Amino acid sequence: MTRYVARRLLHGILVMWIVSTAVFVIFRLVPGDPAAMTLGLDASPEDYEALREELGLNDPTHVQYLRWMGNLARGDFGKSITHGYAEVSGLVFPALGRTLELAALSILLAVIVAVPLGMISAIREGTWVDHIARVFTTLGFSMPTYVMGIGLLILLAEVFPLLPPGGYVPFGEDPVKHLSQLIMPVLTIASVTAARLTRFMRAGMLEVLSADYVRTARAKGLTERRVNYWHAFRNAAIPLVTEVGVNFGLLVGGMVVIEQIFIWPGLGWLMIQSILTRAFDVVQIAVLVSAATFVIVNLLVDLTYSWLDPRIARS
Amino acid sequence: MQVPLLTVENLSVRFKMPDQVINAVNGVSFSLNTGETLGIVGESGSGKTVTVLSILGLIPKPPGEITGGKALFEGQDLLPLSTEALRSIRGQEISMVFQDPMTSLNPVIKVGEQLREALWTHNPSESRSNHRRRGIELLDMVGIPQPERRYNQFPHEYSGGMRQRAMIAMAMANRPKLLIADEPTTALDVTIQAQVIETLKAARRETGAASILITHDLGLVSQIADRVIVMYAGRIVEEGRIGDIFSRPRHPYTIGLLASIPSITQRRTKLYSIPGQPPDMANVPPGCPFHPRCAVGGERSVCRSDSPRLAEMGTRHQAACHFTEEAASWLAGRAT
Repeated sequence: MTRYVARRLLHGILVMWIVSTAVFVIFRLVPGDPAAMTLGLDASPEDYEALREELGLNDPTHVQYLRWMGNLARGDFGKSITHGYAEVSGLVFPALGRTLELAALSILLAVIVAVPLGMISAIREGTWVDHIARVFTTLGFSMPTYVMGIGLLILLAEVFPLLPPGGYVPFGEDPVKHLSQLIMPVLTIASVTAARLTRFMRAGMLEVLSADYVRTARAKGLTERRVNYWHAFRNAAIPLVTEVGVNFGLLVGGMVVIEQIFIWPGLGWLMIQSILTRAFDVVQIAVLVSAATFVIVNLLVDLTYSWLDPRIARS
Repeated sequence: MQVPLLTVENLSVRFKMPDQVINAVNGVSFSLNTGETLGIVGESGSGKTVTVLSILGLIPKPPGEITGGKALFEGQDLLPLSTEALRSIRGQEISMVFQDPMTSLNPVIKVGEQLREALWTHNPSESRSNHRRRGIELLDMVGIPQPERRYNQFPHEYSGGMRQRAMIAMAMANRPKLLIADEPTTALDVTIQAQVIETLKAARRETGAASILITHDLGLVSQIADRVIVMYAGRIVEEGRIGDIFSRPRHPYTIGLLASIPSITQRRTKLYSIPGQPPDMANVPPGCPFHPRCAVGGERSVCRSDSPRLAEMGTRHQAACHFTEEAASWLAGRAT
């Protein structure tokens, strides 16, 4: 078990090293260096040269690379020139927190809907419950999030003005308003994720229900409830954990559109704003943090997996 | 005369697939007395497993469908019972051991837990520690070493033979009146097979349960069964006491099966095998389903048009063949 955890950790660190190197290469070695990006095209050559010197861009590449990796290793994410020399971590981490809040609530809602729906759909395969569930999942699948999001906005903020049309107020300041601002983005994201997870749960459950050990459980005289919700579900839940984790990871990095629609100042929103204001020093850290979140989520998924499936840890 | 423990009358089961209908079991009748062991022999697809699964309501419906017949267990017909009513029979009165112990135990639940569950579901008022003690006793009974330690292990920590023993322990947990073993040794190594059969025999002695042993291994049947049913294409083609079937087989299929057993005493250059393939169950030949492969009646028109009924061949010996006498002399001719 310890070896398994150590191996997964090492794997995660390796991925992070590759990502940070890729970010370094993309932001420094492609045409149009960070100084030009920050200052724009109409900057004077003197300003440009001064900024290059300040950013250390005149040093040899390997020195720049070592400095970059060294700073990251120490957790020093630097200061943002475009944001008046504010700490980049002070910009990125609060944004990450807001994105995680949105993603976690959406995933939670999606799981609450998808697990029972997918299970019932599989147990009652071919009945009206199954058909309704499948119509719902197909709808969720085929509708792009921005259509769903804008549709909700028009319906719940414009036609029936029940909810604020986006924006962000910290929970500590006004809990009710904070939560009401969460409703629409969470509904939008959860509906798509729930559709995906329902389909996944249904397929997994159907496979497990025809397994030999489910027949054994029936032959022992167990109740249908025990057979379905204990013997079958426990086996179907294992791959679901991975699926939920992967979906969560994708959400953290893929919230750009939703955060724009609902003006939610999360990581995706920060990235777009930083690109528009040419704050490359913020963008690179935002990309890195987004990737790190994905790696950490996957690590947690692997650990949960080994805890749920006794066969994994030992092999 | 004693009332049989189980009487199956005219059981028919079919599977309705989108493009075809498979008549898996066609009018099967047999009975089993208390304490008796019945062997059911046949090739894959002959309907032997479906027959016993139907009795316990374990065939998947759809596509499976019981189209007729009765299965009287102690006088009560099991076929029309609801799942809930069957529950008190399953695992308590009639229990099953399945073919593949690698897939028949739930991989994410400890063996002891699965064993305890079999006890608990039929005696929910009993305490957890009593179930646990009884579970460990059962593991010990089927010859699993260190039963206390093994009780808390997962199926993947057991070897194949041990898993099948655990399955037997689970099946015997509530001292059933009837134990059905569906090819219990097919998936195991030859050396383990004998041990598992010994375990089955011991478990039966211990509880006095009647049993049905499904197999395609006639040698195994001869070791443990009192009577044998030979099935072909979802029908019974011959039935009789073990001695009669082995010494005086009357159906050409049974004769063929017996001739296919390699013998140590006789030197033969080539092992006999029944010609042809098992029938396609969606397209069973008309008349006697065995006629395309039959050495006796293959060319005769009656075999191709009329399906023979089971006829008495002697005391508790029946065969379904138009030419049982010729089959017998064909056998005599082969032996010399």
